[in-house]
Amino acid sequence: MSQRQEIEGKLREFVTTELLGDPNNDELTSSTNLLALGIIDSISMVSLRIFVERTFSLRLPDDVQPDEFSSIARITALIERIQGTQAPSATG
Amino acid sequence: MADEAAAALENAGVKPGDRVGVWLDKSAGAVAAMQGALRLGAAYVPIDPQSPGVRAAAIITDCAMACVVTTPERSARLAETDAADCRRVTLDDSGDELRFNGEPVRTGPEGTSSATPNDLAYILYTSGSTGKPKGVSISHRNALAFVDWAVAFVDARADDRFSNHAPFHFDLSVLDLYAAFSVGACVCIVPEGSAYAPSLLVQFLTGERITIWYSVPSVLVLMMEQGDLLQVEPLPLRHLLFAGEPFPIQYVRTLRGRWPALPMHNLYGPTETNVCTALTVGDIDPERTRPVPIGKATCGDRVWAVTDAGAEAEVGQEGELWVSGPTVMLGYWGHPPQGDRPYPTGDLVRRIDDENFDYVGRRDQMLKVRGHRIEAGEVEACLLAHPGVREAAVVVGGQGLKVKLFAFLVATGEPPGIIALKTHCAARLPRSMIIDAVRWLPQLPRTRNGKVDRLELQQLANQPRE
Repeated sequence: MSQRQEIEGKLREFVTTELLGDPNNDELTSSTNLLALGIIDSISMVSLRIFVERTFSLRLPDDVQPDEFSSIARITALIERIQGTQAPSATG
Repeated sequence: MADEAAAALENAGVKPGDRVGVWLDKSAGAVAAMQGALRLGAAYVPIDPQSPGVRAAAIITDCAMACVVTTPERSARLAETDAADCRRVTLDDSGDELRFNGEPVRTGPEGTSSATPNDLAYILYTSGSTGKPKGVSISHRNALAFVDWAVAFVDARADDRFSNHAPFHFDLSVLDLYAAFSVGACVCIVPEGSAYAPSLLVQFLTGERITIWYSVPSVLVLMMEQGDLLQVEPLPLRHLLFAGEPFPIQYVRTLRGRWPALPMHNLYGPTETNVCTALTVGDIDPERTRPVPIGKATCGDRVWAVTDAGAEAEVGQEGELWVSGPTVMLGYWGHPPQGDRPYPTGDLVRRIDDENFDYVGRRDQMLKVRGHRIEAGEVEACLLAHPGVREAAVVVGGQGLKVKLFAFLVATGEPPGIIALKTHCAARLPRSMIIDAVRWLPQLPRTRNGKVDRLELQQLANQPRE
């Protein structure tokens, strides 16, 4: 499994279990719009941020725009970008 | 900029008495559009910027708007709806330049507004129980009675800095904007992205040196729990106001303990009456578990509670709160005017003494999720429009920040998934009304007289899932 797939897998599990309350959900794709569907709102954003920071051992800047959390693919891209800047050696 | 907006609207043919939609994210441009409409003697109608096109179109056609001020992108979305014929003034992406038919606007209109106190100033659309949004029509007199009261209540001054957290289609924003305008104070609009990051909200409060904050309690809870609000020193606030939902007492107690001298006020009132009661929080009884009271009548209004037997509630009794006075709306758009009739709020209250009331709950199916008013019927009507859904009942489960909109559904065949249903809702309803969770049942529980048993469903919603 590539690193990207691993990140997406962890995010998917969090979103289906914690945010959708539907662990067996098979409809969610990496491009499903989490903001437009109200899966992430101002409250669940807080728990998502905490999950991302703990799971991937990184610090999300306060001023990340909500749009960057709008899908699993975009959150993955955000994580990869921050991992690239905060821990350049921790790839592979 | 408001003059430019007025000119653009005049170019677009807006006349006194017309309705002008404002379908924009919060910005100075959106405020200018609202002011521009008022300068022409027209009324404005803020539309939830997160509404899907079909809901915006339903509001535009419901009150027969003469014109909508919006973005080019949203304007294109309207072109695919029933409201395609409505004229549009667009605001470019920077939010700086107004255009009508793609042309920049040059001259401002002459003269001043011809509006009289009983003319319509704005319409705020709220969720409607029959599945259609309802337009609460507010006159200049209604708005002014509230604004004048608010200015006196917080002793607003030109050097005050008001926060604006609530969206413009939510009536909390009326205080922020117009109390500030009324005394020439500054109003600082909370940037869109900050609503999702409590630490940014706290930075906004300190960075903008906000002196008067007004929001729903949920936002304050989020700022306390996740944004280190309680660590702020010194706090720039002169007054802290909250409304829209009960504020759990433990948080009010914590705030009181942290800032004993800070005036904190619980304001109450549905959109139809704006704020009709208020309470300045004093010492809090350590034994108290209920939220702080909603207080006593404001704005020159009269409020009283009516018991099930139809009598005015005595001290200690519960009843529905009724309101009469200068802030009571003109009526719902397209419905008979309210006239001098008092407005029954649908809220149950308990009379504490001669003047003060405690909030108890709702009489009907109106739900509140973090201050957003949601009629179960509107969400249910939307769900029933899905071919896979035969019966639907929507209730709120959980408490405080954990509140969720639950749909209990009976399927026609193979049940659609949660994402499919959320997508269906998102195409028709504003974001705050999209269901959070679905439970499929073979049939809906019924009371003895055949109505859906919502109490039973609420209990089911509060049970952890097996």
